[in-house]
Amino acid sequence: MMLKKLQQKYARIKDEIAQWDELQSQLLSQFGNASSIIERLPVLSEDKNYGGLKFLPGIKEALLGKQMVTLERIFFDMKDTMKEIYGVVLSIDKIVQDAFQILRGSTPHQMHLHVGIKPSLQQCLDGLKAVQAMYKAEYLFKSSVVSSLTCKCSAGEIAALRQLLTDQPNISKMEVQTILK
Amino acid sequence: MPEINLGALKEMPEIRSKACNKLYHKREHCSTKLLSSYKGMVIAAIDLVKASGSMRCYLRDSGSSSIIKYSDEQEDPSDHGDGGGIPVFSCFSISFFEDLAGELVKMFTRELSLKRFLVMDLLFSTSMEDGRQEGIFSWSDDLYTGEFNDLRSTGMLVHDGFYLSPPQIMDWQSSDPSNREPLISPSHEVLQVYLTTWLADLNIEMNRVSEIFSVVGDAIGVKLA
Repeated sequence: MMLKKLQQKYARIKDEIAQWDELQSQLLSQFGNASSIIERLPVLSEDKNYGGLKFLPGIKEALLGKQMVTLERIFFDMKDTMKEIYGVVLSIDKIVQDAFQILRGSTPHQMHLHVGIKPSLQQCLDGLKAVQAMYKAEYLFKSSVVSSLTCKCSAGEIAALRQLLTDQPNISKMEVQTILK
Repeated sequence: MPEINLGALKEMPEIRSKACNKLYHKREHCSTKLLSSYKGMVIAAIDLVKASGSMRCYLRDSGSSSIIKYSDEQEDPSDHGDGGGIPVFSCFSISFFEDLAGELVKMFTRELSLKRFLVMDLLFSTSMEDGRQEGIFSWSDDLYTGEFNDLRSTGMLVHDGFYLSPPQIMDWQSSDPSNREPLISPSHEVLQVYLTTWLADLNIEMNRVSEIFSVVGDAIGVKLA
């Protein structure tokens, strides 16, 4: 009975993680767009790269200005995505709290009871808590990575940041997979 | 291509020349596509200009008939086709709408002119690399047959319609394209600047464009964007 309810919580966690993955790929593509502009800025700041366009007054100013506007818009969008990711973290918190509520009246014996090959209630709860901790830590980590991306970053720094963002070091996919089983 | 290290592939007979040929054809193909995109833009600009200039509606002499007839063409010089400047739809007059349309036309024709310059430079550069001497060298040559005829109706031709006004960035001064440095074997960076310029739509202020559409949309009660 209790186990059934916890299974439902797991199903909801799964949905939240799917939502997270979607936001993660959205964030990565925004990051990619922002970094290609940042990497382009030094090229656009040099007169010698304008070839035949040099004769056009205002071209450099206009081009740099327009790129900065676009860049700012992407930064803004990334902040939005981060807010949505935070929403996922909050939902996971809520699900885990609900699980605690469900198990409030259970005795230690019930908590550690195994029925057949099924896990005990305690194991289920620990699994949920582990997932919650990973995603919360990853959110905090991501927001610091995202705020490190500025137009003064070098290509090397950008590549490193991108790697950190892609890797999601606080989330072990394997572990999540095993827990969700 | 001649400098690329092909590793083990260099053993294959004629691989370099075959690859060059392939790239050459690809470039030909892309040049044609670039030109036809530009042509599509010219046609879009023509439609834009036509639409912006066809807001007025004139009274037609209907003789003794009591039915009032209207026409797109002015018959009576005292008829301005704008109902004497009264508000149409809600509170704006025809000339107000025309001014907004004119603003859009100005942005898009300026951008077209800038893109034309990019196309011209890139085509020139490829034809130089092929060792062809024909190709487009001057701002005042047709990029495709009949281009100037097309451009005539966009108002981009000045001096009695024989001279195409030079490209310009927003309200910056324009200067004569014949003073430019020809684009010969451009570096990767230069091509990047050209590509960014193409994509950036420098002369089109998107905020203003959406502002115009929302003002007009509100006035005529239609959602435009």
